[in-house]
Amino acid sequence: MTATVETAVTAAATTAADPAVRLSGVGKTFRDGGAAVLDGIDLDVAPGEFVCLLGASGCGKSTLLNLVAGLDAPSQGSVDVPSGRAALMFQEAALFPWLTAGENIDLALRLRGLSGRRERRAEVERLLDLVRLGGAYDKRPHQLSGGMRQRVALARSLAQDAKVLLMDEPFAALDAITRDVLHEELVRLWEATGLAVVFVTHNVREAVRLGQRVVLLSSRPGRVARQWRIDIPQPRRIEDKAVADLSVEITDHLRKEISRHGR
Amino acid sequence: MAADTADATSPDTEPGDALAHIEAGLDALETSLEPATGRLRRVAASVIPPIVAVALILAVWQVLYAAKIWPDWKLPGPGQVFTSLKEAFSNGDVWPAVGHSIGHGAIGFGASVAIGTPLGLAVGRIKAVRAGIGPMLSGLQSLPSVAWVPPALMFFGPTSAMLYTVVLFGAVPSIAVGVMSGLDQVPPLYLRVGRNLGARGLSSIRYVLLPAALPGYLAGLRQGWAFAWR
Repeated sequence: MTATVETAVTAAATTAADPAVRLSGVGKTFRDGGAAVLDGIDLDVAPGEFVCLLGASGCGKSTLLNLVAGLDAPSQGSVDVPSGRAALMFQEAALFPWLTAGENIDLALRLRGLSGRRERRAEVERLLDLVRLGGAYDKRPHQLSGGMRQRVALARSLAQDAKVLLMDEPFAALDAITRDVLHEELVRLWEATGLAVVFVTHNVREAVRLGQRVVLLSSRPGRVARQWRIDIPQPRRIEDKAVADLSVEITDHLRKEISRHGR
Repeated sequence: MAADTADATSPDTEPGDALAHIEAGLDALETSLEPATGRLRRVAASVIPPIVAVALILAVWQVLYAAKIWPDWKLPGPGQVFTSLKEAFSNGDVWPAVGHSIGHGAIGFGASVAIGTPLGLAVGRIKAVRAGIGPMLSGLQSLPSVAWVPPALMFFGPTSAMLYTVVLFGAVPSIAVGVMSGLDQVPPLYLRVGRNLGARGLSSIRYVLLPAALPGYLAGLRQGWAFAWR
């Protein structure tokens, strides 16, 4: 088939260059003596790689992203982002409602330390054009549709000039058509920018549609259960037979993983 | 028609273009069709109802006066009241009194903002301070400021100091509680986004916390002003 199924698929692919993200033996416990949310996670993401993290509820996907984003510290092991920091996107666009779309992006530039007003304005316009929202600078977030807000959020993430983009179920709240279009948009931007993307989802099809690699996490504690390298060439579509076939296989593993908790 | 033929010949079939068109179509369909209301309309919508309301009250007043249910000295007509108001303003009796009240209110309010804002920030952000004086502030806030008049009179006599004491005790808790509840309403997600964007310490307060807490703060200021005024 188009995908090779291996548990330790990463080794060959990523040890060559410095990784964009390296997790070694990462564990996370929120309270002393409490149950571990993450346990012994070893995961490398290569520069420019698109990795999808897949798992049921309670697998600590969001916790993992918070660790990589530096919003939280691991209890064991180490999290390394050699390029410095990683941009983070959420299920909600989380644009600041007191700023316009353009000002939201501008704030990211400002907090990065860019001082020239005119340069910043030009950069914001460039980023808005990139997500095809040229002319939306003065729009308030509430005037935009969910998909447009998520694109502004994407532009804001790109404004952070990070080498790693972390996405926490960013399209889960969108309708199917908008999501499909944003999948295409995201792959286009990923190819254009060369960012490493870590995309968290519980939607198997979405993971297979987007990623070069799908990492299945077990739940409670979250561990890397299995990985798939996906060689189906882009542009893919979510309806593709190859995507569907692999999704069935991965879903079976996900189900097995979940039913372990029902015994 | 012309557009159709133009489209057929233009390189519309490129995948990037097709995506751009779908996106533009979605954006157009999902953006509300409601036309932006004109400025004149909005001004009219906010100005006309109060004018009508005042006119209605005056009309009811005039009708009651004309019905002669009460003698003139109990319920004078709107015309009579207007004439004596005009007299009072024109012979200069009113302005100093009004200025005096506004002056005390404004100075007292300004001082209350200067004290209440940092106090509210401390109570909202520091757990120990909140546990210590949070409940006290809520209690003080619900106390009518008139209640401060007797003790203030006893301490300061009928002076400006007494007035300011009453104003401060009335307004500071409202403003502090306003800041506090404004801070409570800030979605934690905003703070995380701010941190991820690189906002730390002061820049986080300036760019995220304060603007996000502003609505609650303004409500507190408004209530504080009402207390300062009374």
